[in-house]
Amino acid sequence: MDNVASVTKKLQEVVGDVADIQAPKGAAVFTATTSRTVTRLAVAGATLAAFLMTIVIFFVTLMQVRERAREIGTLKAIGASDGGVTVEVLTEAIALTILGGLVALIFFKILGETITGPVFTFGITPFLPSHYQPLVQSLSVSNEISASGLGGLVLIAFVASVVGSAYGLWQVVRLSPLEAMKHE
Amino acid sequence: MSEKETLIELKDVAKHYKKGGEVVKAVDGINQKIPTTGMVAIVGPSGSGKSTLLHMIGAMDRPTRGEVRVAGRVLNGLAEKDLTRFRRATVGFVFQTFNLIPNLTALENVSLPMEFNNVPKDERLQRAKSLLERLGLGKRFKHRPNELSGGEMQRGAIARALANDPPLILADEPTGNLDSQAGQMIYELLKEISKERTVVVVTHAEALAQLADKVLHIRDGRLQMT
Repeated sequence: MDNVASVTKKLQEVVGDVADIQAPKGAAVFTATTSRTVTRLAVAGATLAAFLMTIVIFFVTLMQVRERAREIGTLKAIGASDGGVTVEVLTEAIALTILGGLVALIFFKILGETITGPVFTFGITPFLPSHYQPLVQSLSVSNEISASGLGGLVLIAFVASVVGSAYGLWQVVRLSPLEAMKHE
Repeated sequence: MSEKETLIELKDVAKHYKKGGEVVKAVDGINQKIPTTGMVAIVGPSGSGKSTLLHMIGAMDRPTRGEVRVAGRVLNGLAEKDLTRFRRATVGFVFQTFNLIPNLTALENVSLPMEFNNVPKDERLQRAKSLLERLGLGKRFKHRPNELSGGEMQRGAIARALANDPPLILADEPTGNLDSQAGQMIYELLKEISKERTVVVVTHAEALAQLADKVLHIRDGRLQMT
């Protein structure tokens, strides 16, 4: 194996640019590097998606509470305590978030593989030499999600919905019933 | 009028606030006693302070001066929690825009104040049904507000106001969003209710004011002598 470099060079001269000539070590390094890059891209994508999900859930729950200001004012006028209103609205927000998460998970399970495969293929092929495209297209992407990953996402969604709703509630509940009913 | 016969007593009640650097005197020094039964109409032009006065009587707003005494309690100094308890037990509100909770059925809407008052579930359902039947909504238990007509929604709101059997019903323009036929029905209903408790109504409707046992004319935040 001492003359790998010279053998590679001679083979390259014979086959030209039609193919890369790689020794097992070089192939292993290439595979490991590609794998690491893909993993990093996936983690970055997932982090961005989780961040966007947090922002969306925060603002959706915040707007939901603000839109219900008149209803909250009415509840206070007819005798609901601030604590009662808070528990009621928070429970609804959390239940809706969990329901939304379950629906998203079902969609991911049904359509995940169909969607992530092409996204992965189209995302990576422009950065590779053309003769690697068949290899990339033959790769399959799993739509499995680990228990800890799922738990983490549920926790983030839960916190975002609680914080968004609580912030909206803090803005509305401290008002008098009359002010809450007029609140825009 | 003796203290026993008086449900509401207003002593020099005023509500002033600043708007654009100017002091607005929404209500300015009102003195009045209102008895434990009967219907009182508060009438006056828009912006005269009718609703502000009603809100202060119902512990929805605080006066900047004077004393509001309802059912033996001075409301001025009460903490928010106590005002909530007071509203729950003593006042039933009827709003111009009905303000029923949109995702609850008529039955659930009427049950709600009793739920806040810790009435057991069976009892509150029975009472809510009985009130809805009494107000002609016996076939509308399961209907949500968007499935009811304006008159039906307002009758539902009156049933909700009566849920905890309060001694005082406050109605702010209760027929303002209704046609004349539905409005007439609401007038008669409020009049009937006032036989056993106090009903205070803010209104522009002459017909409703004529049904009242007492009419308070208000202009620029002050009661007018008639």
